Amino acid sequence: MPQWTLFENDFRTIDLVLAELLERTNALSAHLIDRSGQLITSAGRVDDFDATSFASLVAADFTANAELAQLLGDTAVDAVVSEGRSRSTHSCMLADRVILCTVFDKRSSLGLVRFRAKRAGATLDAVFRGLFEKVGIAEPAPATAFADAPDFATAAASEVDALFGE
Amino acid sequence: MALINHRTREIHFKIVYYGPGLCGKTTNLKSLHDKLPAERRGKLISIATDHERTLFFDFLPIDLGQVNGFLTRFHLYTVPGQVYYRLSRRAVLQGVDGLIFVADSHPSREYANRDSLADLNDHLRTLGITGPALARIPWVFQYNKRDVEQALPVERLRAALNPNGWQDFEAIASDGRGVSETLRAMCKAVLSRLATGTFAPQMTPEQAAVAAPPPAPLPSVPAMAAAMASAASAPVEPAMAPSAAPFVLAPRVSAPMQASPVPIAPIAPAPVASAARPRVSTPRPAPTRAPAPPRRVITAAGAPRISAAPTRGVAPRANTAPARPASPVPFAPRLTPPSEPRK
Repeated sequence: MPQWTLFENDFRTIDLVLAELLERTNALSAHLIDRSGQLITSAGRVDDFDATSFASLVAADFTANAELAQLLGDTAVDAVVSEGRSRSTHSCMLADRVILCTVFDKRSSLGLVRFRAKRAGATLDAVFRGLFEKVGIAEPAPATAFADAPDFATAAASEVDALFGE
Repeated sequence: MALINHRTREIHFKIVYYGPGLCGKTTNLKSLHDKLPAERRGKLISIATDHERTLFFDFLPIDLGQVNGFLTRFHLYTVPGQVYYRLSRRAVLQGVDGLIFVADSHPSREYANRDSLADLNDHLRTLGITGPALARIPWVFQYNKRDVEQALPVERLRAALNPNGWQDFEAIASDGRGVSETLRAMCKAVLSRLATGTFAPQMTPEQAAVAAPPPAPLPSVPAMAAAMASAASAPVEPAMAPSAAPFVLAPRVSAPMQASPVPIAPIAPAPVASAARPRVSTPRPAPTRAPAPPRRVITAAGAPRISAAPTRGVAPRANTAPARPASPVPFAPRLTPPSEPRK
């Protein structure tokens, strides 16, 4: 699987779009999650839950729904909604690889979140497609993705040994 | 798919434990959760049925700490091993960086190991992970339940599942033996891949074309008879006998020599077919190769249980800062990484 890298500049547009989404929907938080379950970034109130676990579950939820859609004869699923008693989530896919998940409560509404998330998604979709074009679909050379990769790998391997007690 | 986030200074890797039902994948994660310091691991999320069978996946994040200015994390996942959770397994494999195949050493599970490996190869092909992409994913094999009576000889498991010589380890996950060694090897493998861009040797186009071949046919009757006789005479390795101490691991460090990491070799019938599981430490019913009756699907899906072992865990590192103001400089994606990591 290709790896991809996000630099500081990549986040400028992302931050603006997420902030606008939160402002216009009065949602609690918005998260960008890699399809494999890794959290890319968040905006808003995320202090009261484990964002790492949240990201893995959102990705699994979305993927499971995509499989459900295929079983029903559809090719893809555009959005997944979870309606909770106090908080709800709306998730949609961007650029086929990133999930935009919006968490909201009764101060907002599903219709508003869906509408604004679609607009934000259109902007972010272009951002991520541009990013993927930049790094390429194929595996980037280590030096392109991460200049210090060899040194990092050596240091990290030592940390792994230390963690597991060697 | 390793994600390198230069703003949050984080690198994430996804490692998936794969294997047949009841082989010990979840037990591996539970053992790691118990062993690792609380500040180095997060919550163990388990989406399981009421009968403690994995329904979707288990998830355990491990925090390696700051390495050269980057917070390095390994996200460990397991798949549901039961046959009818096939699509769930494929969902979990999305974006995998490294694969740990957990094989069951019990003689009655020999075919289940083989079927699970074939299932894994099918999923990888479906996800488009073939050829060079497949070669970039490191594998580690773990032969679990070495404490069962008449456990399959390691050489037999190795020949059937790991003929290419990926690193492999013997384990008794319920006792925590071999668990850390397996994960340590995998962590180093994915780190090596990050540094070199590939873990397996570079393949030629011809090799790439034949990557992940279908399982080989079962051997002929004479070959099976010969293999059966050989296996029946092979003793359980002394180092892995239940009373053996200290526990001896047998890592193999030879690099794979073929394009396909896991061509499945044919296996002969188990030397001893025992219906009862002699392993006392696992109070689970004896597994069978036949798929479960349809009602089990309804029961399992109808009673999901999501549990999270409460721990201090890895603190969420999400960005909670307000959005930055627009820069007067036009948006200009940087093609080169920053010259020096932030402290």
